Amino acid sequence: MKWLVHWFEGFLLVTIQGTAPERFLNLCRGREIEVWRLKAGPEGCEGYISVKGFRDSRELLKKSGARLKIRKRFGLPFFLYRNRKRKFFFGGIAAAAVLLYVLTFFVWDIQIEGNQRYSDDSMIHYFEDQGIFCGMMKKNVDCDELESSIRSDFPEIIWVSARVSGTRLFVSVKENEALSSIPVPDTEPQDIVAEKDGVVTSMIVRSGVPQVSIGDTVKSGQVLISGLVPITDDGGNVTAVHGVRADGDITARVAVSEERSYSGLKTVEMATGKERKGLFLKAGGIAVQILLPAEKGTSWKISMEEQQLHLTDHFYLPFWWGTIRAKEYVTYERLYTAEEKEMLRKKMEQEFAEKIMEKGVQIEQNNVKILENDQGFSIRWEAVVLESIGAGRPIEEIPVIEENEEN
Amino acid sequence: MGRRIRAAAVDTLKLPRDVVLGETVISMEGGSVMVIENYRSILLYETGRIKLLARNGKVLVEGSGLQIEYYDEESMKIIGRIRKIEFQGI
Repeated sequence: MKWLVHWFEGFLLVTIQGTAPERFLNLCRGREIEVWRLKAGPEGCEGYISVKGFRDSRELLKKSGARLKIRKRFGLPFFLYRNRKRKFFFGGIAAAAVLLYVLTFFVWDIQIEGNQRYSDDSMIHYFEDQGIFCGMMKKNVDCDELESSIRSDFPEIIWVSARVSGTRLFVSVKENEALSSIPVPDTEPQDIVAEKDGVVTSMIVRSGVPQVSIGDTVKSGQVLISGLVPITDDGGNVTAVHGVRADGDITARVAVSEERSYSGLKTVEMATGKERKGLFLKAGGIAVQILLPAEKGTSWKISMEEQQLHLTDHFYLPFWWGTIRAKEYVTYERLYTAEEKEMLRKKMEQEFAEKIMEKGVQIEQNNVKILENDQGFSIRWEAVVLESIGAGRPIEEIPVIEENEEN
Repeated sequence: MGRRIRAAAVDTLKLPRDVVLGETVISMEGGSVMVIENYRSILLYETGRIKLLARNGKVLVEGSGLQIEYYDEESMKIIGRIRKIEFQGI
């Protein structure tokens, strides 16, 4: 920081000549004239002094009998003086300053915070529909209107704040974490049927008539709890049938299996170590990629990092830059090794166990085998699990019982 | 207050000597950087030698490539290859 102040004010490299340069240095210290990076040499003492310090030191030079010989000049005042005839250079600097000033009138970055249900892309797309986009003038951004339109068009967003800071538009939202409406329970009559084949291990019936009992073997599609409740008279005759919405939890022991086949040959990608590096520049809608061309018939993986140019945290500009890195790779096929097969087996076991557990299903038995065949090999996963198999099926027609009146 | 009384107070009350008595404080980083505080003036500055006047005597710094990085009312920073620091007249 001090260096910057010196550079703006201008400073000099001087040689202090005379019989007693120490006296001059002590006088400078007393008058608070800064002299730095002093080096004693055969011609005298060499050091740096600010332009203001140089001007103020005339009296001190007389007093101490020393002389200052200017060796070199540094800083902005001297730079401007040296380049005073370079009109285009200063014109360019002025034009750049004007351009920067003009760019501050526009929005060049939109930041959205707090959105979880709605992605950034969908929000930005919505903003575009509302006439808010990167590159528009800041004065045309009506934050209040944007806030109210977000609130009305996104019922899940309960709080929103939009503000323009520098050349960036910040939109903060708070989404409703609770349900926005209470779901209306369906009262249409239904049966509970089995989704899978299995043996019933537990039953809890909340409504309807159970059709099976614990220990029964059931088939997929079989009615487990009937939604048709018969009404009987004193003689035990069915006089009417009422349709209800059958409800209950039925757990069954179910055998599940899954198989994945592999060709036996594994495609391996290996990096050759060759790399190409390039540059990516984008200004407004024009993008340029600078990357040396690759040899024909070679494969490359290309990754790119994009950054937006910004002078401060809030002064973003419509320029993007980034580095491109391409890595050459070759592919070949080879047979799976025993370790790799074992790894695949373990991976499959883990994946399925996680998938099953997510559904709240309990595993009783678990077995994963590698089966060799002519085409390659396959991994077979077999398990016996305890899972809820009941699913609702609407009752299309409720039978009507005709009463036989006996006179 | 005489210097004797102040020195006695410093010893008894365990006060910092540099603050109360204006004693010279020298800090060093290896043999190449030295910061000296509470000096009075520069007596001599020539190739390989810097002599400073302190409150209780003189401090002579000898070495090669000695450069005064900065100096002000309070302190002075010397860089270079420092070989010797000598206290004279104490």
